[in-house]
Amino acid sequence: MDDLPAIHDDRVYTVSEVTDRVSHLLGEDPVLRDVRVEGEISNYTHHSSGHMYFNLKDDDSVLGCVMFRRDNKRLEFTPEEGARVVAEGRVGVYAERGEYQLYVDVMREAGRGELYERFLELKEKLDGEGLFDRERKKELPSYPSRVGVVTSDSGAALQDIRDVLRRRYPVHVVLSPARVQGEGAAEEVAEALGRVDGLCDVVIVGRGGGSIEDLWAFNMEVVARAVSECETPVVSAVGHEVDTTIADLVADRRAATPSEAAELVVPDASQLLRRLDGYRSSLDSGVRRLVDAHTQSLDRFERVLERQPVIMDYGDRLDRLEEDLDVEVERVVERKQDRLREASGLLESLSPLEVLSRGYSVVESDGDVVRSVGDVERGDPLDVRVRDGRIRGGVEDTERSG
Amino acid sequence: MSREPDFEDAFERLEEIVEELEGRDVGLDEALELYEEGVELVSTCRERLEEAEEKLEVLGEDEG
Repeated sequence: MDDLPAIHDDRVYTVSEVTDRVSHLLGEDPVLRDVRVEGEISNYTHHSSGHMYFNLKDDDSVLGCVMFRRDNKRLEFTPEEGARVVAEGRVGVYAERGEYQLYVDVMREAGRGELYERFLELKEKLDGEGLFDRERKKELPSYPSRVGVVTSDSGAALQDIRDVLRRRYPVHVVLSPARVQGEGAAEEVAEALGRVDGLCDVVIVGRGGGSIEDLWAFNMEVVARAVSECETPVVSAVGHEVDTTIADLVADRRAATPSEAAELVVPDASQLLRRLDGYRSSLDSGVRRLVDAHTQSLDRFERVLERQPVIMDYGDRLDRLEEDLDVEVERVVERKQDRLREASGLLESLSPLEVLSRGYSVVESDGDVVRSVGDVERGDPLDVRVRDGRIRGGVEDTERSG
Repeated sequence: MSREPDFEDAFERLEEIVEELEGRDVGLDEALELYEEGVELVSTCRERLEEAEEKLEVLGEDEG
């Protein structure tokens, strides 16, 4: 500030005016507007309002800090006395106390800094390559029969996945084992993914919960690449609700835990069975309704036939046939598919046209079909052709109807 | 890889059949044929869902 020209000003300022001016100056400063500060936490209080108050200090200085509730909710660690942290925010003035302080938006543990930086770098790089793009995401199969699992063969994750699958839906589990933490874990996970790819319908890759360090393999580029190169859809299940790993971002679907992943990849068999039951009863009622409808049209045929005197005699027979049909209909619906083929044949033979053709008989006289009263005279021979043979007789009388 | 498009298809086909049987313009023969097909699909799917336990296969480390 020394280089600012002094302005002689006789005016007497209020405290607030001075404070405003200081506040304004701080707000103008390009560094203090958004600054990252590393230091050690002291005098830490997590107030009942939810806000956090503490100092950041180093060997020579102290900087008062406040982190409001809406910001500290996103913290991935619990601050404590003496912890080394990097806090990011703006330096402003707290007018009532005449103090300046750091309003912290984001804070992380300083020890994790390097890892975190690498994580951010990789994330940015892969994002730039489009590896997280929505369009890249493959759809999971609706009804997989083989589920690949890449995890430790001794971990809880495998058990959790198998438990859920056993309960939900019959599948074949293909385990491609890999150590999921420690030196070389990332490479093992990547190789295991490559091994199982193409041998199953969907792959779950993950592990049970753990500290951020335990999950680190899933933040490594080699794993991210392996996931993105999988032809088979991949579901990540890195058991940590808060942190999103790089593997989660690249995977086609993300589950919070291995159990959740298992639920994601298979449907619920009991639900499907209920659906099948529904289809089954719809089939039964559908076919019954259709058979009823056809029976009704048969009734209509019957009434038409009854109005024709020549065919009157066949009314009784038609009644019987209809009763038979009813019996058959019952059987069709009740005795299900093993009887269906047979019932189908029967019903076909009883269909209206067939019945009609059986109901009619052909009457001939001297080889000519009798179509009208006028075709014959008293004494003429009659030859009545019915389904199973002929009936011979003669004309006793003729009478024109109507 | 043993994908099961059959299973997915079966469900779709069943929906179709049910819809047709619920329609008005189906002849008796056709209705019975559809019914028969539907009943068979239901039992095939049911068998698949009620199949034995989940199986575990472990890929050998040396295969990669």
